[in-house]
Amino acid sequence: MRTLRIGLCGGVVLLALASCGGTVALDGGAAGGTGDQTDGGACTDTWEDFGQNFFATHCTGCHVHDHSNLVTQSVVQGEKDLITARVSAGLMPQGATLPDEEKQRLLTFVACGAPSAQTDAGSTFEAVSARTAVAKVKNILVGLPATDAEVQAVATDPAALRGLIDGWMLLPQYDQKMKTFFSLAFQQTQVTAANFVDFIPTLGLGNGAAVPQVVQNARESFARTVLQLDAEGRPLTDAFTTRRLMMTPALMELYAFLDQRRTDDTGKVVDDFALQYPGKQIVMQNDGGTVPIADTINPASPNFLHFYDPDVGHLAYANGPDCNTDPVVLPNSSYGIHLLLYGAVPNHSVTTPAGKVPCGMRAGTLAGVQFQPGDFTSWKMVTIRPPVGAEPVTRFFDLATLRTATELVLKTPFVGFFTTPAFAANWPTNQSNQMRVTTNQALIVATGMAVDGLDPTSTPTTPGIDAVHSAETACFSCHRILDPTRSIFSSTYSWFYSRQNLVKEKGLFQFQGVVAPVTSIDDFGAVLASHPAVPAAWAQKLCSYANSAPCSANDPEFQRVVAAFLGSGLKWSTLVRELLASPVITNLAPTVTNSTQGELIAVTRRDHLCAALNARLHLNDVCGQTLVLGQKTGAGNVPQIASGLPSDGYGRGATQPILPNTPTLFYRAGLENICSSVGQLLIDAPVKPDQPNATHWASTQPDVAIDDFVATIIGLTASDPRTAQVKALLEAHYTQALTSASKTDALRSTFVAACLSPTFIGVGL
Amino acid sequence: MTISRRRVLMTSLLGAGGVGLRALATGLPLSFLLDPAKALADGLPVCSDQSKAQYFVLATSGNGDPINANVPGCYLDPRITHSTDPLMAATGFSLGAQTVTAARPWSTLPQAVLDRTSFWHLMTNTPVHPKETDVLRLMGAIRPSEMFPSLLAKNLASCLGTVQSQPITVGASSPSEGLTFDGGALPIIPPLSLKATLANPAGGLGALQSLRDSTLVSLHELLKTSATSAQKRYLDDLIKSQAEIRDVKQNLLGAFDSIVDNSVTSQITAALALIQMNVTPVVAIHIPFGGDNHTDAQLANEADQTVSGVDAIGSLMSQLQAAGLSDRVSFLSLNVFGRTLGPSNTDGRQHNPNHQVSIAIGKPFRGGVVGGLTQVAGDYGAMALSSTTGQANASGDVAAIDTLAAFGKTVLSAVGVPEATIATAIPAGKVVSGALV
Repeated sequence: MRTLRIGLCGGVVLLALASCGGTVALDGGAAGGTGDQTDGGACTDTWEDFGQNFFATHCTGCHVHDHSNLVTQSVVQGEKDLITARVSAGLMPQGATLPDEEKQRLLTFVACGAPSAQTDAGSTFEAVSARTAVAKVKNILVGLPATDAEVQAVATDPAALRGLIDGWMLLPQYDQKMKTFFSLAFQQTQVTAANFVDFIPTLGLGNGAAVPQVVQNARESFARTVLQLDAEGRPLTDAFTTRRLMMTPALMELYAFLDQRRTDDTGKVVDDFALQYPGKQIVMQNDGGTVPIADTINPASPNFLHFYDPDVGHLAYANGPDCNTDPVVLPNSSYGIHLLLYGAVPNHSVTTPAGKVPCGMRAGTLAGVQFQPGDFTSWKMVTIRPPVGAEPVTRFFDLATLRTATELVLKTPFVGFFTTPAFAANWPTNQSNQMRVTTNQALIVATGMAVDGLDPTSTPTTPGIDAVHSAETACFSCHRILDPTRSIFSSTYSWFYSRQNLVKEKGLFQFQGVVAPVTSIDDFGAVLASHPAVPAAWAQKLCSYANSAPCSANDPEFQRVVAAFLGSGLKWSTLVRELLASPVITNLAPTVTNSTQGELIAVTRRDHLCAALNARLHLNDVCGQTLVLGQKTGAGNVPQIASGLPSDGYGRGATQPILPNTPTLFYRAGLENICSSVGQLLIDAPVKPDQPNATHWASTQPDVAIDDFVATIIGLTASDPRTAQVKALLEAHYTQALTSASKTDALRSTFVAACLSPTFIGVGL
Repeated sequence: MTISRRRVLMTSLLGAGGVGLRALATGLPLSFLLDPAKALADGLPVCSDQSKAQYFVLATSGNGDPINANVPGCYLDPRITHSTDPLMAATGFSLGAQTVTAARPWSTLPQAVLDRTSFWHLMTNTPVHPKETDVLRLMGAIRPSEMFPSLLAKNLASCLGTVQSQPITVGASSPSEGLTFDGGALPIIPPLSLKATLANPAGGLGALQSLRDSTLVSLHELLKTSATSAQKRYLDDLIKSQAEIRDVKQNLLGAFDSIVDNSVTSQITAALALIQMNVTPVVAIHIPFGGDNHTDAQLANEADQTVSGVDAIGSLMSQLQAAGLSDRVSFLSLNVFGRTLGPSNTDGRQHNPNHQVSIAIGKPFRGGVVGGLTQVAGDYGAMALSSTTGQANASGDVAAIDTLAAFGKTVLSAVGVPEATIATAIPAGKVVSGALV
């Protein structure tokens, strides 16, 4: 075991923990008073009247060949914390003894962000260091800590961040992060199985054991689609028009099922499959043995619609043992087949000497699930197209075929993000609402704007307007926009998102300056894709994701980013590169966004936190956000706690995401427990089968572990002036913990402390 | 292992007992570290009448549930549609001195509860779901803009000495029902997550908590030396949150043991526990009362959930009584809007911007009906009312449009907030003195 060395740094009557360079006075302020003085509004010096001359006189002579030559304002801003530490410690500038007043003035100037007279004299802008900027951007994009080389590259030339971002976008962690981002941005999350009841009456997806899996597939599908389209070099707006979706076989079954079992505006169900085979029965059998799928799907086979289910004959029913028959026989219906595929025994009845006994739907065990685990995890791009001529539609329960197929032949149009089952489950409509919520949410997703009564678009005609709803003047301002625009939805789909069986007004797209005829739901997607508000809207979504607040729309730098995105043909990677490397995100230089909104430091919200834990510790879904059929995922109680952590959300009608950013006692308490669970998983613990690649540490080598904690969790690089001090703090913690606890608990506690480090649980530090 | 002088110095200065130096290290006032709850009250409205302070359990729904269809006041006009379910039969009972008629479930509440239950016929003036957050802001009536639960919490935190002044929501069914405080979104913490969140780390890790806190204070201080002003503020917030969690009464954590899901029952359990732990003045929950029931054959769902919803309120009241908190905790409800009531609403109801019913139950509230309803815009809407009596009155001094603000003002008055403070915070409407004991 290596010896933990904790050195003394000038034993003075100061709080030594922050020493080794920068001394900290007992009053809690930094020596020289840099930080607190900025709070007092003493930012009067500028680069032009003070900084430029000071650095030229005292610094540039020696540093001329350094990467940080301190010649320019931006370099000084980027090296803010290093300059502060060195000057405070009296280490710099060398060869000159600065009068206290001059030293104080320099530290104040640097703490104020080395402002320029042209842009921000007198403002409170404070540039962050290159170290902070790189850490923020890398964490946002891939959840990993910055390296020394990356920090140095950006300190030398902030433009180097673009190249780094390009490299990070190639990492697998980037896809994971973007998958989460796109799921939220396209409003495919915030749905559970219960939400499907609204458009699959009367029992939704049922209560089969595999239902949570397909709900999760539905949530993820569109985000995966966008990632695939991006990988193919397609513009972001293809997501508005695509008829190709990333799907699992289970999701293909759901789409094909929805195409077969339709519900009209009145709630009446039309079952195309049942109508095709009238009088047939579904047979679920156990003792009868397995049934080849070729027979199950073959109308000519005596085993047509026969399914093997080992649960049959072994289930208890509320209405008594009479229901527990083998086989279970029920009238043919696509709904019955759909439910049994997920492991439920659908509603049916049995005839006894006393009469007919109803047997309500009964959840079975995993053994009764007809899907295989891989049916929920194998993703592929699937084209959804209408049948040609008399071509039959895809047989929804032919799982063997669905596993290999790359297209679905369906009569119902599925186009873009706004027709997915997840979107429909999120935004159920009804006879009263008549697709207005669907349309409004689609507009919000695409353009970042909602129908709010303030739209100046001229609407000389209003086809499809609801005369009753819009009769009042106050209502007309919204209905004149929303009703014509939603009409293409109501003429395409019923209130249950089935294909419409009635001929209805197709309306007119008119929203925020765009008026365009639409004759199909594809047209709606195409008009959305060409809407001029799209580029800025998506830049804002990404800005909110990175900054935890929107950018200032009138910020010239933000507008430059939007222009670059537009100029690239709406390539997502261009937007990511331009925006994440921009000072509106990095805070390396003043921007209008910063001056108007200030620098926002936010808690590491759930998705960022889970991603960072997974990426840095090689954990496999520690928060249990991905379900695996028949398996518990996540570590200990982490999934449960994570469900209550601040998270990104969207609300009905809200154009901005809902982002809890402030640390609360619940955040602090929850994180302590999460970190404790992870510590127990990784320190002096055996490798768990579901976490085969996880980083592990042994209390026999605490120094190795603590080095890792500092570099990997806290995210400080070797050259960071704070690294040695932070390491000393953790070492001291470990040593003192040993006086009352085992080595294992001492090291786990040290891990928890590192895990609760502000640099890990805060974005922008 | 070498134990250095520096480590000894650090641990002696920053150990669990080194509060003074922790104050120095964090920059937080000594008073904060010694008594964070008290210190947190600094900057908040001063407590003017501790004897009137109440904790609140607030039920809110962005679905616009049909509470307004089955409560006292809605049975005076025979054209108003009610469920024909026998469980919802019109039943007479007393609210204090008033004799009223309502759906049977309401009559099942204990008389002692009914005698301090008031049904407020209000107008939220919106038929739109996304306006839930605006309704919680009393449709812009609060100055400066704030959510009513947060305004209430701010005015009560000092009196109650709660650990935090922000409200908590354990029941929001979507982010739309989430709360904000000073403009910032607050997290939604479902009961199961709350239970796991507040549990102490097991075994040796729990025993080292104090040491860890000291280490983290030191770490924060170290990071502050090179931090921007915004970063320093964040670091202070983190330390504050650490101090707050240590001020939570740990001996009451067992109250969470019975939570096994995120149901209404569990939300009530969580709310009571948080109040008993003195964490916050206001806890928000979600009690379904029929939901967004556009399509509801024979109003069956409305009937079912009215029964279960009133049962939930009854359960809350009995638990408060068992805990000796009946006089310390009040219940409120406030939804985005109510539903339409006219004769055509037999198989579902539409959004009603003109009528919503809020319930207030608690020691400061006089049992009865506040305001009333009349025919408005083809259906029904809230009437103007008299601030003196609380009774509906077409020429009353609280116009229908101001009833929502009046509700907020009256609740503030009920808990002892000074009249001048109320007038500044909510300029519109009037305190309805007739609704208070």
